[in-house]
Amino acid sequence: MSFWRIVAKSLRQHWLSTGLAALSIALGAALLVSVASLREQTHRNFTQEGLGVDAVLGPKGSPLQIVLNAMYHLEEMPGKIKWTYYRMVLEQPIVEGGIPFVTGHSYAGFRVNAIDGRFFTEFEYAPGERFSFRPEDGGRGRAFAADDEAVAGSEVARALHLELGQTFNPVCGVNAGDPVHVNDRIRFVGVMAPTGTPHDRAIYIPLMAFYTLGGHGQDVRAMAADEEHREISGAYLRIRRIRGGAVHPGLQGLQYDVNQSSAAQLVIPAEVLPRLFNVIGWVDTVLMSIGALVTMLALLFLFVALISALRERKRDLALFRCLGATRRTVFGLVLCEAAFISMLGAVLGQVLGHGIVAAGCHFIKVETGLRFTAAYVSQADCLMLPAALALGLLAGLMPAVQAYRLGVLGNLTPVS
Amino acid sequence: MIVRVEGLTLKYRNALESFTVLDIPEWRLARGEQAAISGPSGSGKSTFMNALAGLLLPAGGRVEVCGQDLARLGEAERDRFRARHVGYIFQTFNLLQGYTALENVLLGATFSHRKVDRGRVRSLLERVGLAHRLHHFPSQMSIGEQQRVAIARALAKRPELILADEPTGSLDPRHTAEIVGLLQDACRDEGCSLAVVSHEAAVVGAFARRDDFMKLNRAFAPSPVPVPAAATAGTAAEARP
Repeated sequence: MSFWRIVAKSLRQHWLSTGLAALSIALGAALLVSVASLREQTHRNFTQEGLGVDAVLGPKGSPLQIVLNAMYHLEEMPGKIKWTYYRMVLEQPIVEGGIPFVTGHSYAGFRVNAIDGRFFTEFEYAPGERFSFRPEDGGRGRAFAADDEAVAGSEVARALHLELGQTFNPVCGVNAGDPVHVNDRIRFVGVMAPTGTPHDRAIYIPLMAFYTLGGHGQDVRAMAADEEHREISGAYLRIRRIRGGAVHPGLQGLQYDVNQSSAAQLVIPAEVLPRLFNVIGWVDTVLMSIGALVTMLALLFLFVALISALRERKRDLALFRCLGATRRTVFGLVLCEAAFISMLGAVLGQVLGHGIVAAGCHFIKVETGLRFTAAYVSQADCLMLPAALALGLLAGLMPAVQAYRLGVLGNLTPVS
Repeated sequence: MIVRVEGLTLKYRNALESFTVLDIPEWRLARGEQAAISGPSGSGKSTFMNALAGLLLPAGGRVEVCGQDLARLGEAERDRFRARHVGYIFQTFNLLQGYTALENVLLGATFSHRKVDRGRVRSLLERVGLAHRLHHFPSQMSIGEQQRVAIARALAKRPELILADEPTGSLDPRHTAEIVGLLQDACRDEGCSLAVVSHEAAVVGAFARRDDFMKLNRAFAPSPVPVPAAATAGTAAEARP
């Protein structure tokens, strides 16, 4: 009978305390793994290449508000910028292209953004990824071609059970009670394939359609033809790349110049989004702390379980010694059991933690449009097994020392 | 000579004073020999067995088993030595409760690092009449059966010496005779020496060599009794590395 067989037998003999200790460690580990995974993936989602946008040209105001509005379809734009100013920025040598948009309309709780048609042909929501209407990708129909046509993001289509050809009246505003453009019926002609970005949660109409909506005043309608007075909410800018694919360093200079003017500001999402992340970062710090606390309590439980098991096993261990097991062998037996229980808990915790992420992915995607994956391997995953081994050995150390110091003859008493 | 004891003294200390529990000028056991050591309870027989097994270290003198002076070995070495050379059958039924009869016997050989196959273990259990109890746990067996398992376990690793401390202490007379006969036959078959301590006349009478422990142990004085059983409780001379 091998050493490991004896360890396995002992664990089986005390299956209830073994199982409970492993389960409690698993719960703590699951919390740590899932929170770490969600935190890292959130961070990645919020900071990755600014969701395909190098810079956002927007009105003066909070940069965070501009990013939230332009890219996450939240909040409201703090104002408008002049079309001519946008054109001027576009002519800068480091600016490769721009996609202007006007926000401020909604339908059924989803934002309706008027946007340049090149959004569907040139915009990359992730490196090399463009919007698709192909059925094999999960899309339907086509991009809009006329002012009374609209395209819906996949989440909008799913939530509203949209059929192509269906029409809607946009709301002039993003708040409840805002007026409806009753005379402007717009027809859905396409549904974009899912992208896993907040763009799935918006409706897009042609940029020029905004100016021609019947409910708008004469001054707005005039903007359709009069570029001098035309206003837009902002524009996504694509900046030229330098060798190695990095954004041209001239962006900082351009940002400075634009921000010096009173007409607009240039916001770099990759700089602003980490700030947003920091604002909400305390939540996961709290969750991580709870996870760490639960794990520590679980290890304490393991310690108590081992100590109480040792009390029951004194006779068995004394018998092992009498049969020729050395002190080191019984020390190793107890330590290996502790390590095994904590490792078992850690593995179970990882499975459970990824299960929690898998279950949460769907809800997060629906609510925020952010794509999470249960297969993501976080730092916590990498550290979990070595940490569990170390902490398990630590929890088992004192019981193992007690087993080591156990007297043989004093513990060889009859059972019955 | 399998066992050679010369000038063995063993002391028990409590908070106030120290008692000499064993004082044995000489005792020997030849290879293949079987001896019964008789004496009343409290005379230090179990302490003597523990000293022979290397579980207690003498205060003075020499205990040599299989030509090895036990005092020259460190504790771990004595554990390993015991695992390889000495089979111990206890006064009480010290089987591991969570292990079947087969596993208990296998465990007897585990720490000796001698290759023991299941075939030998099975045949040993068959030899002690437990072929039908291989997968039974101690709680499912009678006391006599448990003691048979203990005999098989002691023999599994092919030791040179078997020490049996009151092996029939809890058995009725019929089973006592059976177990003693079995133990003697098995040791003879396996070619190992046997030392049995007992206070039962029926057990001692079954052996050709009978040693009176009261004569053997000069430290034994009927009154006042120095509670030698406490020495076997391991609090006194139980060896530390």
